[in-house]
Parts: sequence; C-alpha cells; structure tokens
Amino acid sequence: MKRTKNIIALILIVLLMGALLVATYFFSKDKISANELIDVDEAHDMIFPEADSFMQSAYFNDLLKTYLNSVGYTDEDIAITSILYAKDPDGRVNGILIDVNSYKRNGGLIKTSIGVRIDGTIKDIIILGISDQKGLDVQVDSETFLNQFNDKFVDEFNLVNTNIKKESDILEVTGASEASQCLVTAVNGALKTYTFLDGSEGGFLNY
Amino acid sequence: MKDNIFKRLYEGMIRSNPVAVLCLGLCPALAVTTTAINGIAMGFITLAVLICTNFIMSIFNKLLSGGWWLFCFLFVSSTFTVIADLLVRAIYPGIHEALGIFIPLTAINTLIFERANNYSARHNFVLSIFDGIGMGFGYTIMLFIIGAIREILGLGTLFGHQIIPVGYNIPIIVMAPGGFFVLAFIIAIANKLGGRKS
Repeated sequence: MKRTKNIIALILIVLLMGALLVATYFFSKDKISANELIDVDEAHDMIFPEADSFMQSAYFNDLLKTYLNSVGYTDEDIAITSILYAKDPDGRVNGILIDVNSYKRNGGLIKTSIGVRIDGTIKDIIILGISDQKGLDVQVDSETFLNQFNDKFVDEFNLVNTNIKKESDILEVTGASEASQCLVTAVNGALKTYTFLDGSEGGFLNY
Repeated sequence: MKDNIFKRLYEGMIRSNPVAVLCLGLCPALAVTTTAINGIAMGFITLAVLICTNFIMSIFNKLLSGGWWLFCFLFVSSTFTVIADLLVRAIYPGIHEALGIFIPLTAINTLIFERANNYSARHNFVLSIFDGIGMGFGYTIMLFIIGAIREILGLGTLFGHQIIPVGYNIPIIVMAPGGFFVLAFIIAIANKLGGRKS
C-alpha cells in the first residue's frame, strides 16, 4: 500500500512538473532567441558601422574546426559561432566579423564579437556576455583593456601581468587574470580564423 | 508562540535568518554577491524556487516516504530551477549572464533542501508557503546587504553609480576572500544582536 502511494505521488509529480516545464519552454524559447539575435546584430553594427550589409562565410565549416584544432585551439578553448563578411555599398569586403565563445577553466564563458580588417588588424572587440560571477571580470569589458588589441597586426597576442615589451603583449586586468586570458584566447582564435579564411579563399578580398 | 504565518515570516527574515543565523546557502551568498543587483537577483530566484518547492512537497508529503521523498524533492527542486533559469534568460538576459552557473546550482541549495526536509515535510501547504516567503526574503535581504557592501567597497559603485571616487576602492572585497570578510562581519553582528556567543 505504501509503495503504491509512493508510485502514485511520483507519477503525479512527474506529470505536473513536466507540464510546467513544457509550458515555460514554449513561453520563453522565442524571447531567448530574439534576445540573442538583438545583442549580436547590435554588436556587428557597432564594430563595422560603415558596412552596408553582412554576408555569412561559406567557409564556416568543419574544415575551419580542424584547422583551429591543428594550431592548438580545441573545442574546450573556443567555439567560432559565426563568421560574417562586412561589405560596403559597392559590395567590397571591408573586413570580417567573427563571433567567438571562449571557455574559462572554471566553466565560465565569454562571448565576443571580434572585427578584423582586411589587412589583419583588429578593428574592435565587443563582449556579448560574461557568464560566471561578474565582479572584477566585468573590467575585462573596459575600453582600457580592449583597446590594447585594436589596430595591431600580430600573429598572436600574449598576456603579461607587468611590463609590456612587445606589440603583441596585452596587460591583464588585475584580479581577473583568467578572464583576461580567456579573452586573449578568443582574439587569437579569431586571428587564426582570419588566417584560415585568407588562405582558403585565396584572400577573401576576392570573395 | 503558536506556529502561524506571521511567525514564519518573522523566523525567516529575522530570528532564523538563513544566512546570518542558520548559515544556509552560503555558496551563492559568497560567489555571486559581487554586486548588489546580483545579490537581489539570486535572492529572488532562490525565493521563487523555495516557495514552489515547499508548496509541492507539502502537498505530496503524506504520500511519500524515505528514499521516494528525496528522489521527488530533487526532481521538484531541479524542475523549478530549470523553469527559473529559462524565465530569467528570456526576461532578464543580462542577469542570466551575470549569475551564470549559480542559477542551475539553486536546485541543490542547502536552504531549499533544509526547509523542504525540516519544515514542509511536517506542515500544511499554507504554512510551508509562508515559510518559503519568510526564508526567501530573509535570504534575499542578506544577499543584497552583502552585495551592496562588496560593490561599494570593492568597485566603488552601487547599482552602477559611482559612490567612492575612482582609485579608492578595495579590489579584494569583490574577490573570494572579500566575500568571507563581509559574511563574517555580518554573522558577527547577527550574533551580537541575537545574544549568541558561539
């Protein structure tokens, strides 16, 4: 009798919770998708305000993932979520927009949209979101930190905690070294993606 | 004093405050309270999950026993946490980004388990709901206080507005050790006011 009562209670709870979960999912799914799209679109317009249109790259595929793995950027480090060409009114490519998710060792995540000019320099970086606690990590979003990347032509950036000696050195945010490294990894991943696209398409200027 | 809804509110918010007195749910209380708004948001999420879990578990309490109770509790609290997670993500995406992994972890918050196990399992659903409201608001108030202190001293701001001139903030307060300092300070005050020596 006791066992029967337990089973009845369990079935009722599962049905009730399941119904609530399904209702919430259908209520929230469109809003969640819309929120993500608004953020990303706004970021793209801010990075390339002069662009007339954005076009998805045909080379956003498994070949890119294989290439990134071969140069040391595994799925545990970064994930490229979108690659767009920013085109001017004449249809010429001004640069590329690379959206990158970069993973922190403690399970956190930094979502960025990175603009790279056709000459390989960083145009601008916009942080779309920082998961995990948002204390000092939020200072990674500061212009002082992000401007260190802009207008530089390097193969890879390196994070340093004191003296900047080379153009590729980036001074970390004190107290947020992991978030700083996470962002540097994201930018380096975007630069590698730029290199891949440039090689794959014989220069995306001709795209 | 006879148990009633007013006693539940008083117990939860003041006399048996979950953070300052019972020391429950300290993981999010330390981890996400780097700003006041994070503290309030985490508090309200916990409040909502706590009330709903208390309500459901008090209704099904008489039908469940032993291991079945624990299994059902985990199922109920996890489901309400997922619902809260989806709603926050849809309505307040910024807050969702800021709280990150600590929203899903609400399912195993010790405050929710303790109240479901020690109160809802033995009382009717009306008292259980008010116990959830009292405890949840008590938790939210403490998270707000901790968050506000850490934000003002650590970042020099409150709700994003500059309070302390730039350069006079104490960065360690928003880091992990700062959370312990502030929490210890609050518990010490609560012990002094409550007349507890140990």
